[in-house]
Amino acid sequence: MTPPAILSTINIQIAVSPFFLFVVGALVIAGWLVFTVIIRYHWKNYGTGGMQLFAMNFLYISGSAALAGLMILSAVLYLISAQ
Amino acid sequence: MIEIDKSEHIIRVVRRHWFVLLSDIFVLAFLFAVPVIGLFLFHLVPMENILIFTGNQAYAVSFFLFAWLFIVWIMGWNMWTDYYLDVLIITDKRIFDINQKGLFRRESSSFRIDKIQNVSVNQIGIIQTLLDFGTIQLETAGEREDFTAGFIAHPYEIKRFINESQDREVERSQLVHLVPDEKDAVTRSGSHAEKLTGQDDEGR
Repeated sequence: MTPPAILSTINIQIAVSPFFLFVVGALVIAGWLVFTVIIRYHWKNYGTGGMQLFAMNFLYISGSAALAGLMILSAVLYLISAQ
Repeated sequence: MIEIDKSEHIIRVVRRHWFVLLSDIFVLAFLFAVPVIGLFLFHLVPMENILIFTGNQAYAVSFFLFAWLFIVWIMGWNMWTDYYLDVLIITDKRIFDINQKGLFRRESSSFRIDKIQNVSVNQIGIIQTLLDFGTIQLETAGEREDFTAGFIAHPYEIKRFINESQDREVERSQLVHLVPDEKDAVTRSGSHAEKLTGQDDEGR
């Protein structure tokens, strides 16, 4: 029996509801917030070079905002399509 | 929060060569490719029997894709921070070696630049020679262990810089030692003159 065939016999069903997506999204964002506090503390206290730090902060915040935004947008679109 | 005196000035910050980031970049590239492997498995395994989507499946897949990329993005910044905070700071008085290991382990050691007795550079192999990085070893006076920093970019240039800084610091410390002696000499000659004057006064 091939592995996919074995999996098809397993009777597990997970409902991917919009609520589930929002919970996952909230956990990821909470993790990001904790990580952000820690690394910005490190950059501020142990970093050397002002302009470099500014560029790092800008890139980090803008990239994070873009990815979080796309993640939330996908969840919202999923919620709309579910209704 | 680098333990530098107020009278001390940072004159150079040395980081490890970007080559040390290469293994991290490979790990990130693999993690970045995980959703592609996941999508392949998604077609291979009858996931529709396991996952029940209440909305449009494409939006759910894009949500998980962006969530995963967000996690990889965070891991990438963690690797960068580890690299960025791992530095050799050369001040006008001391050299600081700061080793950042993860986010919660940090080792910092320092020694006076005028205590350095020998600076040696090791470049081994074609990659180190072509990309110009290597190991710098500093021998210091006293019982202290020798200091070694690996994967340092432009090691010969750093060696020359340390030697020049050391020369300057030794010259400066010699000057500092000279000044009090001169003061003492002036004071001594002054008191001697006073004594003589006193003697003169007594003699009169």
